[in-house]
Amino acid sequence: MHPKRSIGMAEEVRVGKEIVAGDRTIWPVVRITIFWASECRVQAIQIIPLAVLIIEQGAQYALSIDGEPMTIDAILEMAPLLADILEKSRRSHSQKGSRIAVS
Amino acid sequence: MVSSCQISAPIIRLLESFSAVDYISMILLLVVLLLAAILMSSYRLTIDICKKGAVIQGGCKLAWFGLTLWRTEVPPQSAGEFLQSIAKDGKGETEFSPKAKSDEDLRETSKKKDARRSMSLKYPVNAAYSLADITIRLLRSLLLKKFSCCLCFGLDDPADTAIFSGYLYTIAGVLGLSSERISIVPWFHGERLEGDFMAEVEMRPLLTLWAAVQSLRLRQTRLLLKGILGWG
Repeated sequence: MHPKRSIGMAEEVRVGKEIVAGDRTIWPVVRITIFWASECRVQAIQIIPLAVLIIEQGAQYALSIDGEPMTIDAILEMAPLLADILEKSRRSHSQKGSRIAVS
Repeated sequence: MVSSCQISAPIIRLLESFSAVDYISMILLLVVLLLAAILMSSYRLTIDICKKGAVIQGGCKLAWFGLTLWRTEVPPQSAGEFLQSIAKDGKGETEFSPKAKSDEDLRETSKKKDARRSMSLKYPVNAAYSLADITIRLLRSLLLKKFSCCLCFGLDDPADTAIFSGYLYTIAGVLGLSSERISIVPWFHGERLEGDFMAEVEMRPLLTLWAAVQSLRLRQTRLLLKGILGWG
């Protein structure tokens, strides 16, 4: 059903569910730490927010939770899954822009 | 050699000496013994469900002294098909025939609805307490012979997955299920539900009946029952 795991700690960085606030879409990036008691039993799960990617009306920017300045490249390095999301938002914005230009 | 006529002659003479009252009491005694056997003997309910990928299969069996009384099996099918079949069954029960939609039926259903509404307004807190009491008593009358649950699940948000797995571990802890019997593995890579569930429950109808009678001693439970039946 699932791969066998060794006892101990496992870490992974994941993109959370998007939060939509008006025109803004916020994508949280979290670090998940799982403490395995045995190969099929979880002792504890820790989720720490690392950064957020904000997309609004064609503009995209990243914010680090620790307050340090963050670039889009840095957040993409942290969570490569965000590349698809960014690409989709750029494509949808360019399509919208072209529609406006035509009308 | 003793012939069968020689043996049966005293039996026939004995039966002839019985009056109608004796026969009735004998039949009553037999009925009581039969009922006692049915109520005191143990019934075994086995549930086995497995979901792997998109395919779901399993079965449910009720046995009495090793004799299968009822059995149903879910053949290997996709989860969507399984849910569709359940939805169809539900629709079949709730659909009304044109004849049943007569005025009297409509009046009766509206009365029942009103009774339910008044019950839900009258006894919201008491109902929760009574239901908890009945559930606990009924669960105590059951004996869990075998149990194993292996679940791997994931929701669309990793945070929700973590919170939900915490709830599941809490429920397992409250129910006293040991870690060997239960395995819950959170999946943080997207939506997923896979696993298998097997339980074998032994129940004695007499104990369950006694639990139901005991729960009726509580005033709130009686009020709840009255409300459900529309007597209150």
